[in-house]
Amino acid sequence: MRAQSTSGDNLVSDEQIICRVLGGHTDDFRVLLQRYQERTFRLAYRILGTYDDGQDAVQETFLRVYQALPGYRHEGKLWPWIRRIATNVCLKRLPSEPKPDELDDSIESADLVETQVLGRIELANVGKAIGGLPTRYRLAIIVRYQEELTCREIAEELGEKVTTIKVRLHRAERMLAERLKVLMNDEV
Amino acid sequence: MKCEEIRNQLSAHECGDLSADESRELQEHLAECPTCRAHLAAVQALQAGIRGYLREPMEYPDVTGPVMSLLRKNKKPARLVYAWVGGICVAATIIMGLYLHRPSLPAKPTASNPPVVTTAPEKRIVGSPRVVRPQKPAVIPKDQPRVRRLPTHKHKRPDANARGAEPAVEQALSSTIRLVNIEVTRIPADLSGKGERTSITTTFMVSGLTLSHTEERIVIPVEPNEDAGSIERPPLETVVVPKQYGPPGEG
Repeated sequence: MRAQSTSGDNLVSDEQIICRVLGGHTDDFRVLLQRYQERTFRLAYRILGTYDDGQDAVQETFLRVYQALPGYRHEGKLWPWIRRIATNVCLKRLPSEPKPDELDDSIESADLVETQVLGRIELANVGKAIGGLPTRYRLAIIVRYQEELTCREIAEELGEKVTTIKVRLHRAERMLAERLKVLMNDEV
Repeated sequence: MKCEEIRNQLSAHECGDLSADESRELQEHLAECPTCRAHLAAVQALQAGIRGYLREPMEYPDVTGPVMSLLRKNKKPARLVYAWVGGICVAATIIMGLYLHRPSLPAKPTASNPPVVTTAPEKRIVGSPRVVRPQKPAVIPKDQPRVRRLPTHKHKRPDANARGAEPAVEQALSSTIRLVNIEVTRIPADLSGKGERTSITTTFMVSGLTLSHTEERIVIPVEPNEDAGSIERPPLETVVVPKQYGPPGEG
């Protein structure tokens, strides 16, 4: 079910709504929910992989956003702040994985040209391939290509070095190409 | 730059994450290397596939109802809750201060227990524009008994072991606000030492704000046949001690 927001709500800035919520108008939080729940769900669903998990994560995210509103600094846009909370909520819901040595480039990865599948990529296969990536690589791909963050922005958001993020993205793409190759061969 | 290094940078190049120098060097290499150009095309195709998948329209659940329902159970936004907690703590602090430092009637002076006269420092009392300034004591004749002066009674913090209930109260308060200081000043309210003027200043921090509250109480016991209206209040530092209350041997 898609949420609808009234045109009047869109005229009010996020900061104004936050001030009203903090002033005791709890119901105005609904406007923020309707503005950002789609993007939050899209992010959570891509990270967690299932509809139900994504829905639970969205609820938890907005409850945390509400609780954290008094500490929100009106220095930038609201969405990056919500996205950071949502990312943390999602990561806590995932089982922990052993931290790979990201500077170790010895993992067998497909040569992008050799795969010969990139010209006829099916989006469903891309989804499967992304869903099969380890969490940190999946997250890097999602925030890079869904949120269109630069490596520097990703590094800031995840608390990593820029170099680490560049290497991570590069390896994630090579792993994706490898998985796509396997998927395409399975279909054949 | 070697082909392997170039290929490792193709993704970052497509995302605009290379510096101007790195980008220029990569472009120069691509102009001369058909293999790396093929890799670039493959990277572009892969990135297009990723973007295509991640940006597909998708149905999403409307969590407005469940979330708002949960929020209504909270009732108050966090900032108002803090304000409530702060208000309760302020009241608790004042009550605790008054309870711990409630004025007690002085014991009847005896030869072995002379009246104690303390002096008050210069102090502005919150809520009252007047400033209580120490005044020069009146000249006391040599035949008057010696006046014993004690330093003003001040507490930085209340004695945690003074009363049984206090540690629990303080612990409860310290978890929500920070009690900075409780200052108690006692001065005699009456010439004969029958009364006591108690000033309690409580300072605490709530959400980064330093707040202070001062309360002054004057207690003057009235004896059954005494006309309270006729009591003369000398300057605070003027001390007249009746001879019969003086130290032993001087009376």
